[in-house]
Amino acid sequence: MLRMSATIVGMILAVPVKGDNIMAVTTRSGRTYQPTDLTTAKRRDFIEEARVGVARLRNSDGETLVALPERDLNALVELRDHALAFLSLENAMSRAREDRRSTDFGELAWATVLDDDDLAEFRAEFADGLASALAERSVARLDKTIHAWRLTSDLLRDPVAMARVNAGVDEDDVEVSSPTEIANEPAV
Amino acid sequence: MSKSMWKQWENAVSQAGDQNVQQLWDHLAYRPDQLPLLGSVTRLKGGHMKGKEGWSDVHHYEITGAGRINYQFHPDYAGGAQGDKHAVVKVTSIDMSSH
Repeated sequence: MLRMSATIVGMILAVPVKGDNIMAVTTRSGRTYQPTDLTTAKRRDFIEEARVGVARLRNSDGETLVALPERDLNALVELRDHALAFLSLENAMSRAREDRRSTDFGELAWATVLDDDDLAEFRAEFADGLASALAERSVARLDKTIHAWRLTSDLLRDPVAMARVNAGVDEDDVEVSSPTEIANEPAV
Repeated sequence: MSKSMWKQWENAVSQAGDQNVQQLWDHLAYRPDQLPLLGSVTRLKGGHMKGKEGWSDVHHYEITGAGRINYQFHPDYAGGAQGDKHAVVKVTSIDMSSH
């Protein structure tokens, strides 16, 4: 029975043998393995190719499977999700503001509170973030950008808090002492 | 901080625990423009969060184990009752709900 290390190989994906509409991948050797190769010493090469990028395996039905590191697969899935969200944003922004519904923004429905200038800035940062994520195979920085905009939308929905942004200190404000100092103050 | 937020601040202290709130206070008091030693700070986005007249952009601090606080800081604030220039951190809102 073939045993493969889950820590090395993430998942085997089925891809069309002659598919033109999938992401191009390059194996280190350009080789496509056969199932029988995995019962011989060639399986080490297969696993090593999967570990450093993509390894291809053609099964008996002629379908090609690929193995790649799980982190790369996760990044691709996350990129797909973010790309779909970006398309929703583009779609929503293509409509006149008065015709937009929050559902047009999909999972970015919170963005409806952003005005047109902020939306344009958000869109530009999102596009840059997607490009960087593709290059880096990581959505971590893009996630931080989206998170910051999400937090921004939360505050924009709070008129009391927004009234305090850039406002001066007034008589309603009180100083906050260090919690430690407060705790150490002698009881009166 | 506005008097109206005092109850929320007390809730934050009780929910987050003394140590986490002390870290927040140290961050705001000594290095509001730096990354915190613990917790996380995010500078908010867009035109409405831009600082004016010396105020920083609006920053958002996530309190470990509790809610969030939004603030601005001003290194040379000359307004208020004191009149002289001094550094000020202004809390714009406290949110203790889970995110």
